[in-house]
Amino acid sequence: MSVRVSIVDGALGAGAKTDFPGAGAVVVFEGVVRPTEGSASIEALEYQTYEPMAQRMLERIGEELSQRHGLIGLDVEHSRGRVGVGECSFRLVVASAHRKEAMAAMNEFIDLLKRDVPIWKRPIRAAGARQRS
Amino acid sequence: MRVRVKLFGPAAAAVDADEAVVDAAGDDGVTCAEVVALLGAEHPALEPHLRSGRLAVNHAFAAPGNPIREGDEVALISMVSGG
Repeated sequence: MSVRVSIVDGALGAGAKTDFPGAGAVVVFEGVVRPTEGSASIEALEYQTYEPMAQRMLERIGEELSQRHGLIGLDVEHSRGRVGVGECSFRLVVASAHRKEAMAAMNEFIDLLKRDVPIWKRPIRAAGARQRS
Repeated sequence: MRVRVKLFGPAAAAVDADEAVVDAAGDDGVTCAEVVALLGAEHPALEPHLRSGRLAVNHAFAAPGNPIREGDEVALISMVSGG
């Protein structure tokens, strides 16, 4: 069982880690910045992180879900700073022997991240005008 | 005891600062609940964020009754929006 967490500057690079020996299911989720936030058109999102706590929580969530669901591996990446529309700001890869546990863990991880992990996004409107959220 | 509380996201935007400071009576510690009450009293713009958020002490969520001691790192984790 391996859990890897990365918080990186800007948009995530292309390509997910999918090499998990023994896995029969590798599920990849990518969160991409939409062109609107609410009803407003935006050109980017800016992510702020409380990094030591975010890193720690993502690791704990990953380890707990890996144990509970019997996963082979879990790899999570999240952006800090500016990410443009259409770019990837979050990627989660979950590997297991069979798809049922991978998909269950994927959904649970994202629910917990969105509820608890100290990361905030702020929309940036076109022409660089910043909107306080 | 002086308690510095780190602010992020909408809470920081509400007071246009990345930190709020409160002075608690006594030198031998204060509870999270007491710090929340002081923050609300001294920084009214934080009130909605205090209601919807939680304090973290040393990078872990803390219950209202948890003590805060000299040297602890305290943060207000308001509504998060990652992922």
